[in-house]
Amino acid sequence: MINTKIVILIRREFWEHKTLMLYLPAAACGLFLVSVIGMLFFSTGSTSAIDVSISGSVFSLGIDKLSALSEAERMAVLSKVFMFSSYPFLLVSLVVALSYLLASMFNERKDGSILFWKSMPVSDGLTVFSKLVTGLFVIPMIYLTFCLVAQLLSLILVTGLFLSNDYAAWDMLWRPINPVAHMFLLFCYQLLQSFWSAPWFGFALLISAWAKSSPAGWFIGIPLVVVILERVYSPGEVFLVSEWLWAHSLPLLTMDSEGFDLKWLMVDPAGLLEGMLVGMLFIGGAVWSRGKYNEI
Amino acid sequence: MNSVVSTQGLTKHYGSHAALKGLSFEVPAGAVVGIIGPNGAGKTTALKALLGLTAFSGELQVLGRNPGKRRHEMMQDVCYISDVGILPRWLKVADALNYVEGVHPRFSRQRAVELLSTTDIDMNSQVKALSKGMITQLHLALVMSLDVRLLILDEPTLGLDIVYRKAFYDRLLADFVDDRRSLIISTHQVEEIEPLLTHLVFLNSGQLVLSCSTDEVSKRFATLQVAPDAIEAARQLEPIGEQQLLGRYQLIFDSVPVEQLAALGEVRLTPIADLFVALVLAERQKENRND
Repeated sequence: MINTKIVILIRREFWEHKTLMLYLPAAACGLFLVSVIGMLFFSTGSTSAIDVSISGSVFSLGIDKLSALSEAERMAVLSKVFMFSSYPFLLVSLVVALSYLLASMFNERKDGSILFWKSMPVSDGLTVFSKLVTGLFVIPMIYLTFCLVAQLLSLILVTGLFLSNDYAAWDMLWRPINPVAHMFLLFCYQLLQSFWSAPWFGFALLISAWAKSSPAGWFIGIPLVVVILERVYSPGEVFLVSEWLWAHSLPLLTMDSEGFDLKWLMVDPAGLLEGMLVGMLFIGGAVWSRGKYNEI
Repeated sequence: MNSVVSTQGLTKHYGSHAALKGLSFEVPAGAVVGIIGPNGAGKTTALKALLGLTAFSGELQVLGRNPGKRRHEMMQDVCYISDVGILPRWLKVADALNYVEGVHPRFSRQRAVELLSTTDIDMNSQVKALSKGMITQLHLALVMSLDVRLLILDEPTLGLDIVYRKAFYDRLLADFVDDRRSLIISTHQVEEIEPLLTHLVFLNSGQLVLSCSTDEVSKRFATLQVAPDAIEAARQLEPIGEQQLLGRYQLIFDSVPVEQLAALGEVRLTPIADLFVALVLAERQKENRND
């Protein structure tokens, strides 16, 4: 029964937040494709609207230029394009997940519907868990899926351009990019990002279940006050809490001239564990608050 | 007694304000209980305590469970419609059925569809597209399709016109009330639910004024209509309430033999609303005298 319940609870979240979980990523996907079509329209065999910089060298995505590269160079250039084009989706999904979590239990108290949900045999723990799963995994995965759909459709469009110019699209495009490997990498990244951001996700849930007004204000205000107090009262120049909060605020995936880097995870597994423990404490607080506060 | 609800010294404070002052009453299985009281009497607070939606002190058992602990298990046997708890506006009717079917082990989808087919509600409509009366019909259809042992209604027909209110209570009477299931209703519109009720709980300022069955009420209380020339003799029998109506007097008596009253005028059953007003005014007079 719990399995059935969690599925229906997550579907419930989807029904309520269809704009965030369906229309917005679909619009982003559409925008992405329109951009690709525009770039293809302005590209010729030898020029491109996109230049890629790797280790100080600038590579054009014009087909002639791309065909002149070595296999390794082509792989580096196209991988970077693939990852870079995923980045906006991943960042937007983080912001969407946080805003969803902040609203998830505030809105039901605001419109009084919490009393309908509570008239059903669903525990506060399972309810909060369903919202956590939605924010941590479902939303990122929806955005990732739309991102991958946009990228695959773009690849198909570019394949058409390659074929019309008598280039072997498989050798020049599909094999160097290896979409399946990229999909897997992005999937893993999203999971790790969700765990890394657990303190913020948990905090957002707690604020959502507890705040009587302006959850976004409390969400930003409380950490801000903590940071200011630490800056004022902490002896010396050591600001552990501020640095910890800041570290867990940033996306794990960073882009630089060498591509993307999952550096924090590699060097700081303890930070990951700490974040998850703090996140669990906040989630416990969210469960308690949902049981206690029904009205705004 | 096989009690569905049993309270002993139920108390609730909001800061220094006592919303419930040691309520003790029982609800037997199969009863239809009207919780009646003016605004601020503690009706909603009492119902919230029964549903485990607010902390309380004192003893409280609902279907043998403490509602403050593992309330989600209790909610398999209990359901409620709150005065302020509304169905979310974004929810589609079909999804409402999907949701309740997914989380409630005792929901009959077939029954819900049958009930909805007697209304003008379209399965593909969102709640925000429905009128207030239709939303209440939808909520009632969902609740009626649950095989629960206790249904709690807190001002369920608030804001509805008389047609919807009548249809609501007719459906409730026809489809829910039986020997096995109990119903607790809190409402201001006492007259509309009077024929349904088997038990009464009167509250005033967080205190219990009366808790008994409607049978006991008819045996214990009576209304006497007297002409002005008999009013003094009637007053000697210590009525608990008195009002003047079109040149005649109506007096309410507690535990005075009917034969004794009949000698003075016409004896009638006491309407619940009149009884409530009389008892509350009597309580207030008593309090004023004590002050």
